[in-house]
Amino acid sequence: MSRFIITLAAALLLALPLRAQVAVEEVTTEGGIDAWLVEESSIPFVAIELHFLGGASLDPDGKEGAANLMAGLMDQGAGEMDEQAFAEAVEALGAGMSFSASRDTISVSARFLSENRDEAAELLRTALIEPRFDEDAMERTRARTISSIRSSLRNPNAIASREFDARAYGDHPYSRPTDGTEESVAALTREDLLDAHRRGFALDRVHVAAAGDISAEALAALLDDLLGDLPESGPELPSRAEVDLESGVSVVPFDGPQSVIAFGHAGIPRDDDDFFAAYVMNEILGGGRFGTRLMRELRERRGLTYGVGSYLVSQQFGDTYQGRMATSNAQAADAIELLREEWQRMADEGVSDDELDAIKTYLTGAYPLRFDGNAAIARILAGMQMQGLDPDYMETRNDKVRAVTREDVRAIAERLLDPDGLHFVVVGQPEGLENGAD
Amino acid sequence: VLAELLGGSSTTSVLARKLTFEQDVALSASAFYSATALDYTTFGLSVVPSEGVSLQEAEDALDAALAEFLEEGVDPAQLERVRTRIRASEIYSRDSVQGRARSYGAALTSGLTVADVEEWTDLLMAVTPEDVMAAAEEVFDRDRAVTGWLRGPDSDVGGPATGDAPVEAPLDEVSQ
Repeated sequence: MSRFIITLAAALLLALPLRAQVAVEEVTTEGGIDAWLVEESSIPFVAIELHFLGGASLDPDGKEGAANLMAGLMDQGAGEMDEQAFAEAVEALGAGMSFSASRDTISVSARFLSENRDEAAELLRTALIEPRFDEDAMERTRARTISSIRSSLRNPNAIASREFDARAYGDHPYSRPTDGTEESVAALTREDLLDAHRRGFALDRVHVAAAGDISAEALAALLDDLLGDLPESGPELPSRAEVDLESGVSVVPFDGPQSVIAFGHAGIPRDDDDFFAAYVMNEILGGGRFGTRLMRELRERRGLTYGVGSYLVSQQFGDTYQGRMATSNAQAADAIELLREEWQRMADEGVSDDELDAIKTYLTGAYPLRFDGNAAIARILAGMQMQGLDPDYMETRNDKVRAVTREDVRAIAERLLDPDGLHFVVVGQPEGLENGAD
Repeated sequence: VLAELLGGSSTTSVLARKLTFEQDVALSASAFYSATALDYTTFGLSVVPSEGVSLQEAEDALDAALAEFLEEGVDPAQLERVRTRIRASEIYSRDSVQGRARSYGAALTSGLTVADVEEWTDLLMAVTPEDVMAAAEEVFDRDRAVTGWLRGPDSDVGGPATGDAPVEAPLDEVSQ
């Protein structure tokens, strides 16, 4: 038995340990590309993340979904290779590469085995620079996308989110669905995808991170080859969204026993001096887990919901403070009233010392668990660059959490929380609720 | 290895080629098999039909594709790529501490040993085309297969089954 335990322990030690302290090396290539690297050679592969600022927000009006469809086609044929040939080439190298578009970014996630890293990087370069957007691959991906849009139109959570965005962000690109509408996707042409490709990938927009078995010199050379042929600069980025939500309730009729509710108001930018205080406050109020005030009051004490959470949605071009819950149609009005009361209580009273101590223990203790492996580390590092954080952020972050005081939370709660300004999008057949301000 | 060959890739696997690329029968097709189970294991296949294709047509096309595979045998180039993918997966899987703990835990609760887990990739690498075809002959016995259809309540592309599915399905799906 003891031998078994020793073997198991040894096996786990060989895996990448969870590291609270991750040493980030800043790399600048000859071609002028900046990257963050965590060199870690215990497993023979490297994970690389490329995050291009802009994303679906750059889709022109009427072309909603172009960036999403374009990203979906990036690994479906490139250079001389059609979809089958490209997939075979990736498999033959045991490599992985994926492309995805979100509101703010187009992300490229790749992993290359050390034994054939250069060949795999060349394959990724071909996909990045010379995607084919072949007719048949395009039609297959278009059909899959439309199928997924249709199913989201029958999903109350997706409906609530779409409706909330449409109301929150006015005529800003954030008001539109990232994957487009059935009509806009059906109308996209190959030329639209080529345009989206030109808009989406540019050197002045990319944030690069790598983690794993690669030296700074090798990474620099690889990146110059990989990205050197991209255009220098991309098109103008969106302006910041003015969040302009009316207070009150809007009901979207939907058959079913439950009401799904999306709620919120304006938020706080990630680079605001009080962001950390706001973050800590939200974790106590509704940070998406058991033990928050919202879960205690609405779920445990009143039995109104299985789940309720609130989130600081601080994005590149605009910020909201949002939450979600689901409740029975009969109790939707009660749930909304109680939610407003909790918002008000936090705005009036702030938090107790016990609440603040407990959340700091949780947040600082859980932080290192995020860095589970090269792929996760590379993704986090690219995201940190996008948010304008420093390379030593991982070492300073827990101190920033610990430095938040009750007075800080009180001040930000008073500034940020607007109980009367909350808007509730209710998808369902809620009783006793009607559209309109109150 | 059989599941990987048949359905391990949405582009290059046998079912994807036959059902998604050569014919436009399926939006996607997959094959799955869990090696760590205490009881008898199952080998699963699933198809999501393309628009306008009925569940019966999709199921028939899946049966036909399997019959063709039993005739044609293993493509050596594809087997080589699958072997590379298996070897690469083992390397990538070492990246997650949580994933490793889970795979050891799952193996141990199914009566396997640490040595079994450590040999697993080598065993997969040693599988021959003959082994794969023998497994296929054994697994694909229609008398030991069940098929489930998942349909939307207003589905107009269904087959002979009557009654609506209890949940609203975004897509029609056949698995067996």
